[in-house]
Amino acid sequence: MKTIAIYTIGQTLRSRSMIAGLAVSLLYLAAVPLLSTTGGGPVMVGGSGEGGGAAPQFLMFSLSGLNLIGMFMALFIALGSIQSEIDNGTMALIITKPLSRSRVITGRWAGYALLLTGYVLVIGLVLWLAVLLGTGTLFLGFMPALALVGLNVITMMTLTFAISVFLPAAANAVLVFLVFIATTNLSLINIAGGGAGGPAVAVIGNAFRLALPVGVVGDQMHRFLASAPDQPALSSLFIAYEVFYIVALLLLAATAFKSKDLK
Amino acid sequence: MHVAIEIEVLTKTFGHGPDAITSVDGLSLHVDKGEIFGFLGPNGAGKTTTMKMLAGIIFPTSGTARLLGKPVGDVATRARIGFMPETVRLNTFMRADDFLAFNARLYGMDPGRSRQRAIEVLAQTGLAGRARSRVRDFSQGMMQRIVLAQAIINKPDLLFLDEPASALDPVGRRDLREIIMRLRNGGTTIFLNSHMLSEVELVCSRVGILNHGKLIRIDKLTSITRPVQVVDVRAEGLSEETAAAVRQLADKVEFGPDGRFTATLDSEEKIGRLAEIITLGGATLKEFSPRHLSLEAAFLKEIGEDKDG
Repeated sequence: MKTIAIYTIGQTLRSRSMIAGLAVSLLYLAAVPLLSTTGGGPVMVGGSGEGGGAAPQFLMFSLSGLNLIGMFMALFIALGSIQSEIDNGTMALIITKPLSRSRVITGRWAGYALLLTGYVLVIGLVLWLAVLLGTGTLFLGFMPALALVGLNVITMMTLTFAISVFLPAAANAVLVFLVFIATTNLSLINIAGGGAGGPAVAVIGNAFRLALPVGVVGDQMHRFLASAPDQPALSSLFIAYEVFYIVALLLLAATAFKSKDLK
Repeated sequence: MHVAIEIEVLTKTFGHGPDAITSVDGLSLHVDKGEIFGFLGPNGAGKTTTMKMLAGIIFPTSGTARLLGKPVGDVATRARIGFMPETVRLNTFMRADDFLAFNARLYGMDPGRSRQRAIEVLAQTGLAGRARSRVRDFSQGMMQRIVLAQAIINKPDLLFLDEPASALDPVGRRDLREIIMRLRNGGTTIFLNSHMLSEVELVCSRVGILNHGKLIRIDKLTSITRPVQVVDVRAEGLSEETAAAVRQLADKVEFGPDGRFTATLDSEEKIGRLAEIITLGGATLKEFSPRHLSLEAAFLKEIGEDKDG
């Protein structure tokens, strides 16, 4: 499994999707010098969410960007993960070796997960440090928010990865993108429904979000950044659900791959 | 246990309902340990499907198969098996030696041993000079060599080769033959799918012929390429009496210049008798060549494509 994970990391690091994602991420980092500095000692941003000048907006903007870029990068790197390797014959070489098919799946998933976690962590910490050094503002809610970005990115990768067991890259991209758009639109419906006093709409909206639970967890991330993590239990439930969603998809992928006829 | 491959009523059907296609239909055969078994058949006969089922790439619809005494799919047994698929277009970022070391690691070898075996098989497959070349830049022939290299990196007890020579040049084919014979001498059982009947003829001890998913013939190569009871002869000092005796023995005799003639006999036993008549008649045998059916001719005959009937 370790060998497969290392192979996956090496292969992904050389992929165009990864390089493009890193390039876009660097553009975000380049925005750091534009931040205004508050001068003086560090300002702690806690409970009230006050202080920090332009830094909170920048951090909110850049972390949301990292969330979105990370998710799309996850989508693109995992698109052809299984089906493309079946098509070019590489998978036949791997699965005829003495390791079970479920280990191939988990090894590959672990490679992507490690890589994307590293990516989110590095870019996130650079952003955090840049804000700290540039503005003297210490965001306490940043680390939990960054962890949720990582969770979202891995969720998106896992969904794409699981579908890659069944569909070729192009069909996979279309399907995941549609699910992503649908759940995003539903979140708007959810908000509108909640605001108009229609609790049923909110319930339906939340139920639909189960198809790709990155939206609600993304909202929770914003709350952490706004230093207001004391939210209703629903968000915590969605975070737990997102973890369950990842595990369930991985199991589904492993089970399907175990009995799949390869080319 | 002297059997390396045991296949019992193996069937593979693709699709469902009226569109279903049975690619392999009730195939049963055994391959002994240490044997080089040639698996022949026209395109679409089901050879590659059979090999893929044995390698665990696809699953049979029904029937069973055992490799080295264990059911197909047994993970531990795969450590003793090598597999070279027919068509692979490796799009890996890796260099040749890294790719082979990666494959060795999948067989459970430690990093040092993996690297050592990678160097050894690169040399065996004629790729020693390309160790640091990227695999994705390889030509089709080199790709075939490196896929062969990964199949033998674990020194397998059982090796599956699916059209291993299709993209190889004559030097590559010779290298492949040498590798096959070296592995055979080391006790490896080899199951070889090939369209290159001349290659099969050179290395295989037994062959099976598959057509429309069914095994239509399985026999020793020497039985399949049996003598056809036609003998080309050149004899000095052939007397009229001896010539008459030859005519009497043979169904048909065509005499040519310089004491040459071709005799068609109705049984294999008469070949020896023919030689006896000539020498006892006082003639000197300069050439005596019983013709054999080539594997290609035998193959075409078995699958019903023999234009000569």
